[in-house]
Amino acid sequence: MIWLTWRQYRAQAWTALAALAAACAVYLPSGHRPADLYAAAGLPACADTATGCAQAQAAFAASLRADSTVTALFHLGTALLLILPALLGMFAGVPLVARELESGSFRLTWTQGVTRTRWLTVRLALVGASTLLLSGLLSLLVTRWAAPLDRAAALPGGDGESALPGRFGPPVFAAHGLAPVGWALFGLAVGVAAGLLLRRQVAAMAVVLAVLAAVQIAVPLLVRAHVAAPVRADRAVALAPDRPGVIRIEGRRLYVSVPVSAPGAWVVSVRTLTADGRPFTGPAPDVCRPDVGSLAQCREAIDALHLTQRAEYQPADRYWPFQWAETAALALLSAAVAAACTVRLRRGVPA
Amino acid sequence: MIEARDVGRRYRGGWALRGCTWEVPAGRMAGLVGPNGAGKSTLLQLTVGLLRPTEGELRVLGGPPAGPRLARIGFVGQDAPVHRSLTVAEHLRLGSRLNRTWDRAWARRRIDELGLDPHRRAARLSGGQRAQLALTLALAKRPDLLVLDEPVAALDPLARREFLDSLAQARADSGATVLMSSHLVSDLARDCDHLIVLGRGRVRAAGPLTDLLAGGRDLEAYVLEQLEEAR
Repeated sequence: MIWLTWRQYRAQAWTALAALAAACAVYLPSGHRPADLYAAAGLPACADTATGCAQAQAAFAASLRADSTVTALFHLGTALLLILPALLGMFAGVPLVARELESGSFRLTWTQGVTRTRWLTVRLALVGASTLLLSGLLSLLVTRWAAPLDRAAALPGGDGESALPGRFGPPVFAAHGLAPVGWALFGLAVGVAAGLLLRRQVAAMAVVLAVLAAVQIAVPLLVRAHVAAPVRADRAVALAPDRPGVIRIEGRRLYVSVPVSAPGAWVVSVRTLTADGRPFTGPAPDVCRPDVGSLAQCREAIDALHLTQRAEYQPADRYWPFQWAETAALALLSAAVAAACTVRLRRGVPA
Repeated sequence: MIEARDVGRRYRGGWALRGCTWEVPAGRMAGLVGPNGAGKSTLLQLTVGLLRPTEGELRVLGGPPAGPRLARIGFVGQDAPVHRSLTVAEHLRLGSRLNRTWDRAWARRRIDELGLDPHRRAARLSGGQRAQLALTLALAKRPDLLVLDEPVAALDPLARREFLDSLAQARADSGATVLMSSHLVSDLARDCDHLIVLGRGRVRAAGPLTDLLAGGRDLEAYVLEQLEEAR
């Protein structure tokens, strides 16, 4: 059984090893670069004594903008781990059962001395363990490489203006830490189930791609944001020349915001409220029209509206609980899908 | 050896088999005949445990065809399914890995006698060679029951005769019970001593050939007569 699984998966196994080797060749030699930028910008002092953070963050953001390689590698690592579940589902999960069903060779394989339940269990265990290992190693590689960048995003002084997205927000959360392992297992399970139900590999691959894209978009919006009630922080909208803030006027509408000060947090929503607590969208004060007043007059007029900015966010210290929860939930879901596939296969498959 | 009582199997589209009661005693070579779509493949897949009956009871080798009992059943599916990307030698390895009882030396020798190149991929074998490989895999596990689903349907006359000769020889050597389907009566007439006629999902006649053909009737004429009645 082990031999047969290896024989049928050796192309995928070599491809996975080659990909892992290529990732090591890229991320291991360049591992010092994010750390060097972190140190050179003076962020260690900010981390230790909480002094000079604004200055250090500005220097760090500037050096990241200058070093396009680090930025590109950061985004490459994120992209790689985000598409990994779909790739595993399509090329490891789908053929696991569907290759036999499509070619008719299940009539040979499932009439040997090994029952098909055992056949499936062994394959799921071997391919699942390989998936776990591959996704774990890739995530470890990328997460360790990006650790200084993630740490910088969680230090104060950045005021949400950092050059790279933080690790808690939607694109990066599923690509760093433990979550990639859960997502990889889930992708594999979706692939196996799609292959078993559709019996045709190409159709099943298309379904895997569509399902994973939909789930990867839906989970951050509909599930992850509500795992724990977000923290609410109200802050008066007070604009001053020396403090960052954004004023945007579109016709009758006025958008005004001040930075949310929650380093390392995932800001789920930001709304502007009027003095009596209703959502504020405008209109803009007359002096804000370009031909009427100056910028200073506009700021004063906006301050006089006594607006409040209400931010809802998941604070930084919830990062690891969220990672564990998401990984465990995905692993359990994958196990449930695999168990359902085993039950379905026991009932027999009409030819 | 095989006992089926009121066996039925329903697919999404409707009943493929209904109320089938038949048996094959040990040591027989039974032929299963019927037109295309009569339910022959369904019946054979029930017998080897690839499908479970929707209703009724099917006992093979003393119990339902599942678990360790499957190791004692050899099966050659329709169109002799093999793994296209595996070589002949790898198929033998597959058989030895997946079966507790596996006659490695015999399988080797038979591949040699057939003149099959062990390093050739199954996808590049001819239809006759593929059928012989599938038969070798089914026989090398030393089955008590051998089930074959239209094994010669896709073969040319020469390969067809060679295959049936191999089968008769193997049966004489091992004494295994055989159940083989075909839509051509002539394939079965040669060696079978037991017959099951299937028409539109029901058993139309079943029993030893000598009983069915009492009075010196011709087999082909008898089967046609049974199937005409089924219409």
